[in-house]
Amino acid sequence: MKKQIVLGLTAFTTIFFLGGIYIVFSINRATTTLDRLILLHQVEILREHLMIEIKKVQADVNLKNTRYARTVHTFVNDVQQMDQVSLECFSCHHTEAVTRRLQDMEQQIGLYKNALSRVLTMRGNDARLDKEDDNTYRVGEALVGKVNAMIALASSRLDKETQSSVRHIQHTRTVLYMLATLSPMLGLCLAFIFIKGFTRPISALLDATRKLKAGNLDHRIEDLKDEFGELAGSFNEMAGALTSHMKRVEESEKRYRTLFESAGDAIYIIEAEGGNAGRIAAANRAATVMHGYSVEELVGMSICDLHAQEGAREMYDCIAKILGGECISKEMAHVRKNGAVFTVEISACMLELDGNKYVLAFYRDVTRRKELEQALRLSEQKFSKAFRASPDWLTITTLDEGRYIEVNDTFMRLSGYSREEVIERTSGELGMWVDPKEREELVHVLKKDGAVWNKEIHCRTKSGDVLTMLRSSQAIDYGGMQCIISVTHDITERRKTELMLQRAEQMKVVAEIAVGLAHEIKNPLAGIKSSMEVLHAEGACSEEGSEILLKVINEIRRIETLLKDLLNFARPPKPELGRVDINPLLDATLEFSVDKIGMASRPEIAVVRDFEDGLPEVIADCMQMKQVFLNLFLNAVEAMPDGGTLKIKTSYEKASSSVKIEVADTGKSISGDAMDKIFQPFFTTKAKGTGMGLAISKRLIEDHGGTITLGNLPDHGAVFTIRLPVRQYIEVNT
Amino acid sequence: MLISTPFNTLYKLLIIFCLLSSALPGCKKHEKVSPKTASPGPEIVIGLIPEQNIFAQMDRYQLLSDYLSARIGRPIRWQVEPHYGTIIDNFRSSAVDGAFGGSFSYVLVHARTGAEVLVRAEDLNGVSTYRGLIFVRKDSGIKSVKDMKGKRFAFVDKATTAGYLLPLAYFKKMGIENYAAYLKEVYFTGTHTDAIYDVLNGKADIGAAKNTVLEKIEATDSRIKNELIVLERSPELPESSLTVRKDLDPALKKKMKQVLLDMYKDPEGQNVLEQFGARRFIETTDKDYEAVYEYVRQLGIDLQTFDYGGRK
Repeated sequence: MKKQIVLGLTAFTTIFFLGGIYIVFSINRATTTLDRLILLHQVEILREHLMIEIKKVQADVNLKNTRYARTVHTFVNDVQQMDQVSLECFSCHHTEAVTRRLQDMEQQIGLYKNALSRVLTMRGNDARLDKEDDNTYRVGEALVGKVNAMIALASSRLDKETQSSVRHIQHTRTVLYMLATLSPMLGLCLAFIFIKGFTRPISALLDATRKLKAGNLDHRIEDLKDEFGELAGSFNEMAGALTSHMKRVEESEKRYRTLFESAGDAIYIIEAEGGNAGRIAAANRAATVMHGYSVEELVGMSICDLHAQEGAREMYDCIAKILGGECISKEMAHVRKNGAVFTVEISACMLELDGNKYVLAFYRDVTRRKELEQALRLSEQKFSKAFRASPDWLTITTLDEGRYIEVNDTFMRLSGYSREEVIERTSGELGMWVDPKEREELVHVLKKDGAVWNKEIHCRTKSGDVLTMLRSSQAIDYGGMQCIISVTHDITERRKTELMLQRAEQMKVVAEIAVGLAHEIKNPLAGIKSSMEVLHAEGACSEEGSEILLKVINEIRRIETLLKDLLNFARPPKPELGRVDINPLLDATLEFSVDKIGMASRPEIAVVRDFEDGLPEVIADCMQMKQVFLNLFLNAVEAMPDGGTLKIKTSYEKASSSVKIEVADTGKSISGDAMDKIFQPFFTTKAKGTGMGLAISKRLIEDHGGTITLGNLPDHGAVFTIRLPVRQYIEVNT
Repeated sequence: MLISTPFNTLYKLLIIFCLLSSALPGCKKHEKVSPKTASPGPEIVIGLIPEQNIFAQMDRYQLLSDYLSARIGRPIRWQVEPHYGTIIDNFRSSAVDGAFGGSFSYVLVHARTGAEVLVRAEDLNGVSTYRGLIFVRKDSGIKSVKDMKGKRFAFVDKATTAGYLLPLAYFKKMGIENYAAYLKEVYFTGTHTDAIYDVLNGKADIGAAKNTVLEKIEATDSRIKNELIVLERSPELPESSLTVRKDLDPALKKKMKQVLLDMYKDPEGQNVLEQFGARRFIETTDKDYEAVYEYVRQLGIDLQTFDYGGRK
């Protein structure tokens, strides 16, 4: 298009230029021609003038001898004038021919002048003078002729040139008129073409932009060339870009609308500024579901209409905070259309649209979650309680190191450690493993099978005691770590009891064997004894021998006692039960022991009687009870070789609904080892004891349904505590 | 833009127009002859003898007069006379203030009016004198005065030395008392040039003229040399001189004299002199004309009464 414009302008310019030049040239030529004409006229005139002068001179010559003769001066003047005129001829440029003619003429004038001079100056006879006159005249005529010729030449040329000039001027005039009429028309045509050339594309462009403005983005411009074509191309691109942009925007809009509508949470857009602060501007589908209103109802409501508790003022405060740039997140109670109150979790922050500020709020119905949370909390609590309060020792430790993560109360109680002492420390560090290999085995099995069931382990408590435990462990993933959850059941007592029972069984078996043996031995022994006694009585042996026989008989007697005790123990006689009042029994036993056992010979032993009055009767075998008490008194006495106090206390123990009898001495305390074994048969600290006394006592008491325990007193001494149940009827242990 | 284009071209046109118009070939107007300097004061009229073609004389003296006029501050008008005698008449009637005259003319004028001679020209060779000549055509066969009997003699003017006195003296010397009867025809050509040409062209048989003129013509026309022969030569006579009337303003006389004398000193003057054909002007006094006076005595001419052939 630029080319076209340039072309057009060049055309215009050229046309005007050419036109102008033509005009100029034609004017020029016209003027030149006219000039020439004028010149020629001038020349003609000049020559005529010359002619006149020459004629004048001629006249002078003619008149010289007449009455009208001119003065010399006039003559001279005339000649001079003629000269001047002839000189003027030479002031113009002429062609060669003309110049030659002029030179010729000049020569002629020279001759003429010479002749004239002669005529004027000569004095002589008339004949001569006449001759001279004639000559002069002739010369003059010749000159005239020459000049005439030149005049004629000039004239003819003048004529010709005039004609041609006139023709030429006419021609030029015609051409100019033509130009004058054509040029504007041409100009108009060109202008028209160009304008058309411009307006068409421009109107196409205008049309396109209007269409675009109206919204028709699919309109494209075609068929334009050059720069307009470029413009059209750009326009098309722009329209295309606009279309795609619109599409993208639409897509985006759709996407966001979908997100908005399909969100699971209720989304509200709330006005934040001005008098309408709090008014709902937009709500999604989830919101309508959550609150029970339709979208139309929601839009226009204030958000605090949905609040169950908070009022307008709190809402305004919230909005102010949000406008300040904060994003709030909290829980509050909302009310549905039907009046149901439920909990929502809000996330709200500021949103700017179109220069206006809004609050964008997300609401999530957390009622269910709350319930779940509650349930979880309760479950947690349950579990926690269960964990804590379990009678077994529960721990969570790391698999690899045995680092304590969680321990329960029983652990703390049994191990003696507090929670702070063990958490984050390993069992190894604390020295809880009696044999670390046990742990290694545990871990090995755990890694192999994932669980261990009822493995017997031995733990050392803080106080150094060793507990026998049954451990069951499960490998779990706790908080991302490989851990073990272990249930450790304290079987120390059970083990002890088992041991005891085992022992008892053993005992029983042994007892039976022993009884059997005793019976078997008893007879031969009696035989031996009688034989010995006979021998002793007969005095078959020497003194020495008799002594030896006596020793033998004593030893046999001893064996018999042993056998008797053993039989007593093994198969004690069935108790004969009757209602027994303990206090009198104890008194009676005391008396007997003082009498019979030699307690009287031991005055350094004080006896303290602390009997509770009004003790209920127990159902017991009188004799056996006596036996027990006697045994106890004797033990007490034997434990106080250097004197002391024997204290006997009775009381009624409501908790166990039994009568409690305590026999305490102030002798040596009993060592831990002894304590375990003291009730075992054949255990004695006495040199000559059978070790059966306490065993039999224990057996007897237990047959009565009671218990007997031994404890050390804080200061010297031990105390045996017997508890006999007070029952309507008793179960007999057989 | 479409509106301004014509304007643009219009400007271009104007420019072109101007250029062209200035280059239009035109006839230069005939340059005026250099204007006479408007010198104040009454004009001085100086007469010119018709030594040569009277029109040529005018041309010859034009530059000189311009120069002189400018220098003395008075306009000068030349007045060429057809006859030598006329000048004398003019002197007598005070029609001229001065004249460039021949030697005999001077003598006459001096005798009759007491006119003063001021300067005379020295030619390019330094010669300020001339000789009179009597000459014939070579093929005329005239060798001496004897041959001249019954021939036509061309004098110049009664008031000239070379063209009258001289031949007269010659004839007297040769013993011819009445030359007019001796010769077939005697006439006065009026100018020295004509005298020469008349003999050359056969219009006369014998002629008398100044040698300077002859030499001048000889330079351009070889016929002189080839066809003419000089029979008699006079002694040296002073060249044409500027003579002024007696009662001319003395200061003016002095000034004119001085200007002319000093002319050769400045470049313009030199230019004019060169064109005039002289080297310089030299002072001239009455004494320089001794030779002429001699002739006059010889011929027994009474200056006061001599008929010098004035106005007819």
